Amino acid sequence: MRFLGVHILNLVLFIGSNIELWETQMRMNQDSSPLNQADFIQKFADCFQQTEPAMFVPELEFRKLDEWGSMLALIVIAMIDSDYGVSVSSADLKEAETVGQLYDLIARKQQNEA
Amino acid sequence: MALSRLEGCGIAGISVRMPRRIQDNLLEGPVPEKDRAAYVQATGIRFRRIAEDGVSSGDLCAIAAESLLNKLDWDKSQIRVLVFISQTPDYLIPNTSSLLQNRLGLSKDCMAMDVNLGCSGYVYGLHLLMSLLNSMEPGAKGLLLVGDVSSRCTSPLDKSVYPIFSDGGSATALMRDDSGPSWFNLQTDGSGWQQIMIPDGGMRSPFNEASLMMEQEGEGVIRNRLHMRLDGIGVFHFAQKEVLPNLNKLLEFAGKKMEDAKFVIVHQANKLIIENLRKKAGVNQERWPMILHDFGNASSASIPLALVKTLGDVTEDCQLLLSGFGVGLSWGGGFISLKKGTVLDYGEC
Repeated sequence: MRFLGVHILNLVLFIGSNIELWETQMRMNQDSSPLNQADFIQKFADCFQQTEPAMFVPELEFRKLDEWGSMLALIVIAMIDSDYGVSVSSADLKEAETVGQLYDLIARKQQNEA
Repeated sequence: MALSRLEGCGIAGISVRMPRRIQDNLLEGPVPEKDRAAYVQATGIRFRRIAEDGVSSGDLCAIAAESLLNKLDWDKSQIRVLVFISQTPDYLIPNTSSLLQNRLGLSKDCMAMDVNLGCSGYVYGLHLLMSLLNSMEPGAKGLLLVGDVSSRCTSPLDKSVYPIFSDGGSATALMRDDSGPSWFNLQTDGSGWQQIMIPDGGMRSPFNEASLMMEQEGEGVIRNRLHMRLDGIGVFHFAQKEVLPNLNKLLEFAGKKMEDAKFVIVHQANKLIIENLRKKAGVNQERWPMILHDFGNASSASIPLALVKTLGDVTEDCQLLLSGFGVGLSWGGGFISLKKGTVLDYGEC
């Protein structure tokens, strides 16, 4: 009973803290991964080969990385298309300065496309 | 949707000729040395085939056609149609198909024409040949010659285009016979005409002094106005948006399912594009060939190349789903059949 109670409490806290995100998750395409910032940052980091994984935090200004370029932009766009079912154009990508902003952009697009 | 069903025309054989000369993206080219391994991993393209100086698209297609006609033991006088599809013709004037009609020793009773299409060209070409042969007498034969020498119009200093393309030529022999139906869905969106293009050298902006000026248009992108531009992200989105709906509509029209096709052979653009498409289509890798590692993107010849390299021999009747997409923007799907014993031929020159 106590076990169930903890879960219910967690669920309430989760919904209360980010109802928008929860709604987005519910509406998402079934092929897409759940939208979760930590998962996204991990997948974003996996696109890179030469950058230290520890550098990937929401505040990272990814365009300033030595490794960033047109090919990485395409790799990231392909990952977002494949894993989140969202189409991000070059112009969209330029709007985001940081990894966190890119994550927010995907969340907005998922919501708009739902 | 330009949907169509064509019956009574079959493929007798397909031959492909790739240049022997190989470039290795890990060892050379405009991609900086430190980025090469990542580039090969992302695009899937390591080795590319480059035609020797002076070798044209017409040459590669003619060698493929000679070999195929030999293997088929066809009477050349019965060939009534020759269609050459390329964006890198031998000359601006005249049409390369006339040169090929003469070189192959075909009869004067043979219509010959060039079609300016790129990566969608093979699927469009099958549809065109089948349509034309269907209007002729039983037994009429046709040759579809499709190929490009893209290395001639890409800048060796442009990392966004040069390390993608291979040169290659193909010949497909078709005949009016009792074959069952093939289905096609051919589409166009000219609003994307700038996504893959060469600015100068046509008649709107003829070759001039400025055409040869090499300009830096970005990091690792140095080219002149006779070199091809390619908007990689734009083409990626185009392919993701249009290819699968095109194929699904085609399958619905044909009353077929994706599983009915022994192989789904899509234009070998790059790994990012075709792997994303494959995952969305839910087809396993065995049925969705990818030959990029060894051959790169052979432009209009990529579908016949992937077909011949994948099937090897046609040991039983089989059905194939084909998809070409690219410059134009132009794209098309075809659901076709190959009979047991269809000649498949690959060689290098």
